[in-house]
Amino acid sequence: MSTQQDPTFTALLDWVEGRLDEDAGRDVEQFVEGSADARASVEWIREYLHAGRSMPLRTPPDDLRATLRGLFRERLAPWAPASYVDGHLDLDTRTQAVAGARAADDQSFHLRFDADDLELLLTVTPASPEEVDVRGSVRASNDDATSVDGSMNKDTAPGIPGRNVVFTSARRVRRHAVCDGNGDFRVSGLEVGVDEIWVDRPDSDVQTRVEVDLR
Amino acid sequence: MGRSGLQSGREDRTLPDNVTPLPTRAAVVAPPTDAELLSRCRAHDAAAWDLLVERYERLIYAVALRNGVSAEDAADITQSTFVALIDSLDRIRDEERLASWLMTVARRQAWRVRDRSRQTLTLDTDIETPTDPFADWETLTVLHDALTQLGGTCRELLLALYFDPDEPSYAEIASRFGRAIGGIGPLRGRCLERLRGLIEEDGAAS
Repeated sequence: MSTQQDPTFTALLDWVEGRLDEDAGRDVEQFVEGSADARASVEWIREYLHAGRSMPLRTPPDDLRATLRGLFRERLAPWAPASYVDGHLDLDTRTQAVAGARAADDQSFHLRFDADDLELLLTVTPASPEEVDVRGSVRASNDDATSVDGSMNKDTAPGIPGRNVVFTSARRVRRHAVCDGNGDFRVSGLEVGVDEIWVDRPDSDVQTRVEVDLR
Repeated sequence: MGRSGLQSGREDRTLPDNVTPLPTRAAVVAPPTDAELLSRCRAHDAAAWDLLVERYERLIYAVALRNGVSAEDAADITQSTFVALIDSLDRIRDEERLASWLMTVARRQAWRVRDRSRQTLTLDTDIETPTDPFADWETLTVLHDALTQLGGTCRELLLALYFDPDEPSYAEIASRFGRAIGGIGPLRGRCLERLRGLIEEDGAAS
């Protein structure tokens, strides 16, 4: 009759990892051969070790780590620009028939907002009952280039690159886009509850704000 | 019957009003649970968000990379996964399974990136049939949920020992955790046994 204690879970782990000396390892091996419970434990340990090796954790680059932490402050902190000017809606193809204005499909609609020195053009396409896709453009205000057609005829007004466009709902940031080199931006899956859009101005704390209804 | 000596001993140690008692060891070492962090995030607590990111950024980045995407795509996937978490803060119900929720979102994002990449391949490109990088997906999600449930030093120790690609030595880990090197082996055994218990309890309950 053996007086030895059954190997502990830690001893089984030591054995699987090859941390036992020869004699102790042999004892554990013999025990495992004769014990279904021990074999199950060893099998579980091996599966665990394999899982760890199969997907080791990787530390993201520093810039990504900083971005991840900034996401929350940007998106959930109350959006409170120091000062802003209001733009006004001067075209909504849902309610205004515009000669020549035609959406790319029946469900899309166009919005155009004017502020002091810029225009904000939006093409809104429902993506689901709760979400829309938005293609937009921020352009220098140009009285000679205010016509809108189905593709938001914007070639005659210069686009403004690099502007930050922020979509908020109840003054909480929902999405952030940056205008490309042509002054265009695109946002997919934007929640329809967004009620304001903000466009920043370079070298100024004053933002342009427009109220929107994307439903 | 009189009070026990231990109890009266505690009462006798009354601190002056101007002295703040030291936190108990439990208060020092017990990190907040995911449910607590999510609740604080809903209250716009940025420090809680930082803790959540600290807890899961390596896991999500690893899920993205395991799909074989570029580092740039993995960064996008990681970012959009955490954006999805912010957007879903008010909708997450199963808070004990935040790890697998995040892993699943990252996996879906990775699928989209892979599909997009494959669509850009020219027709004459010899496309190999991709192997499923997540054949053991269920094992991994269950494991990481259980590790989160385990929490604290045990979680960190098991991650350091078995999920760190640098494979730190016991000496390095002992130094990192402020423990004697001789205690690392037994502790990791107890932690792993507890982890197994959690997984089995969870499996029995579901």
